[in-house]
Amino acid sequence: MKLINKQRWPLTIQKAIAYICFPLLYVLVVLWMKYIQKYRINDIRQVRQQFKQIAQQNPSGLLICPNHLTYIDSLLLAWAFSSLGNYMLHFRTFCWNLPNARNVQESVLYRVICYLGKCILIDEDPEKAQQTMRKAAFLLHHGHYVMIFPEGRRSQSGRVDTENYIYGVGKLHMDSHLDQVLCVYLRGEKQQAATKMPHKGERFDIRLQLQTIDNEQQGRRAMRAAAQQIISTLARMETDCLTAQNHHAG
Amino acid sequence: MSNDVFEQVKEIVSPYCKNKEALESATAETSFLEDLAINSARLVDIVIDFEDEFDIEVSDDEADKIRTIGDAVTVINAKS
Repeated sequence: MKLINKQRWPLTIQKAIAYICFPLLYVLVVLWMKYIQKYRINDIRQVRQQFKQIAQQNPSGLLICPNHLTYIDSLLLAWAFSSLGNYMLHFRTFCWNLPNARNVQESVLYRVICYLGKCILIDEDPEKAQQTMRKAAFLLHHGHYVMIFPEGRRSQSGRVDTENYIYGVGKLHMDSHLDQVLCVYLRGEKQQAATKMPHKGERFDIRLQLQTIDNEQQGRRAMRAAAQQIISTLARMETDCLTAQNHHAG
Repeated sequence: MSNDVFEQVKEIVSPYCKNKEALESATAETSFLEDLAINSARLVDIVIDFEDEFDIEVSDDEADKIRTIGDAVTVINAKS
């Protein structure tokens, strides 16, 4: 996977600037989530331990595929996955994100935060969107972590959308030439359906599962098969999580 | 334009189409995304269905150019 210099250098510069600003950004975001929003991640130490083990087992890049229920899912996961110190030592494990440009382009502040938060915006224009996907595949191929929501948007039903998901995640997986993806299920205990923000004081359960993609097909069929496997895994993780939450509540 | 192919394309597209009225009155210029309100991700399924139904192979470049029913018929006719 190659990228022309004109596309590669901006990523290198963005990564360097993000690294410099990261301590301040991480502290501010975590303080806001922890003390103002009063969010809690259940068993955060175990989640971090598991993520660390996965990172150690995967010296190459990693495609991370979470379910999607709120606008700040990627922030919550960044907090849950690692401490500030670990991110500073292994900055590649702080994921690149691929948000929709439409959601952030109206506000300069959002764009700055996205830039510093290692986001590459996905444009509505198919050609520009393909460029972004090429950049993401390049990053994965060069040992970076990339997060993409396979459902493509927040699930309105509150459950993993097994019907209307995107196949782009399958294409990205194929282009990355990696065997595994990390499926992540994140759910607040009070979360019923998609919302912009989680409820104040929400407690989150997080489950991680490395998924090996079995694919003997080619082209767009392989892309579809990979996306189907990722979505199926997320749906299974959801069932397990909801069963455990109901058991805990009952 | 082959009417048979045109009708077959309509039939293939039907399960993915959210605007059934537009499909009923579809012409070659009818767009999959805007007019038929088909989810863009489902275009991949539609192209795979074209390949299976007409026993053809559609390249990524060709698939990217399929925006209307007429585009699909043109690609299919060129390969059949």
